[in-house]
Amino acid sequence: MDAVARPVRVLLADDHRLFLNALQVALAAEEWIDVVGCAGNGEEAVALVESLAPDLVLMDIAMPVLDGIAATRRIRELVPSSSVVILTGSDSPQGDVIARAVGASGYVRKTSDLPGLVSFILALATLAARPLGEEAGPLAH
Amino acid sequence: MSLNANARTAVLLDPYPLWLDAVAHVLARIQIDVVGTTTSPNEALELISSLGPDMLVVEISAWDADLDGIGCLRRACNRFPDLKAVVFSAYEDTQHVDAALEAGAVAYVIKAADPEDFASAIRQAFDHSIYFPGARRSTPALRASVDESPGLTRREIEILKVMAEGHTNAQLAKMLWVTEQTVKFHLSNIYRKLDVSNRTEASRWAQMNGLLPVVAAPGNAA
Repeated sequence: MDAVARPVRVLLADDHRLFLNALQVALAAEEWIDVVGCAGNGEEAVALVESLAPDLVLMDIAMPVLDGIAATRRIRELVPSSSVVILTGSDSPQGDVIARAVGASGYVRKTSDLPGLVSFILALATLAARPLGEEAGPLAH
Repeated sequence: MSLNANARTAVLLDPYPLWLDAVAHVLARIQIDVVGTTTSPNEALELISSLGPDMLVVEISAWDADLDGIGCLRRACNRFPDLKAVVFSAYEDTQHVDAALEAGAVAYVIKAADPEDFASAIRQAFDHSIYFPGARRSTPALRASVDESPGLTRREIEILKVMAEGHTNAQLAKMLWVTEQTVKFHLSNIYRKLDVSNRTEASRWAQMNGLLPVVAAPGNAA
């Protein structure tokens, strides 16, 4: 973890507020993670990323107004310094395909548990010493 | 897993472990100990049977090959009449809501709900303090008793029912989230309205008027 010079600034995007709330609490306990914002839909996520430029966005796919896939594409175009990790409920290999297609740095299945998700984000935080981008290839958990 | 001897307990069923953790976070904030979590409806029934929780929080989209979430809910409510079952589901259509309430759920909360609304629904499952027009639901036995009872309020019926199950005043107070003094106040009104002088006679009245749940014979559960 020494490679991380400062806390990784994370933005959460999910239309399930209870889930967002729990994830925020769990991540707040980690000194290497700073949750800078929460969005309830894709459009809100894009706007927050433009204003906050977080290091990492944890993006749900199924959201109202603008879905997570379209939001990820826009974020990668508008703020390329912000990496996106897609949160998917699917167990299919489609997660990997989708992540690659829209320029996400990885994807996390909801079949993971909360400690597992936190560990995954911490792993990304370690990698964040170098930019998370296409050259790193999509990470999966 | 339980840290607070006075806390209510819950078993959680959801196909996604992330959601199990998220719900456990919210329940911990309102002093409910999560004593068991599972992604399997069959295992949920086993956990309820072995751990005897006060409540089940269930996502009805969970399923095993031989048992889906609604089936699990129905079996749990039939086998454990005192169990409070709250559905917390991504399904928002009325068919699923109706099916879950018919299966015995005391509340149905959609997953897009505000965390505080979810917490309120959990509290309401134990201590009804909010009613909506046309939304009152009760078992046929309880409805009949309300209709035939000599002026008992719904709250008094609820207290009488729990008391007749053999709980002490202290236990009643804890279960209903009120003070023991409030329980005594309600009991005193109940005795007066039923024209009885003690809890034994009041319990007998409850028994005679079908207020106590009918216990299914072994093997009869759905």
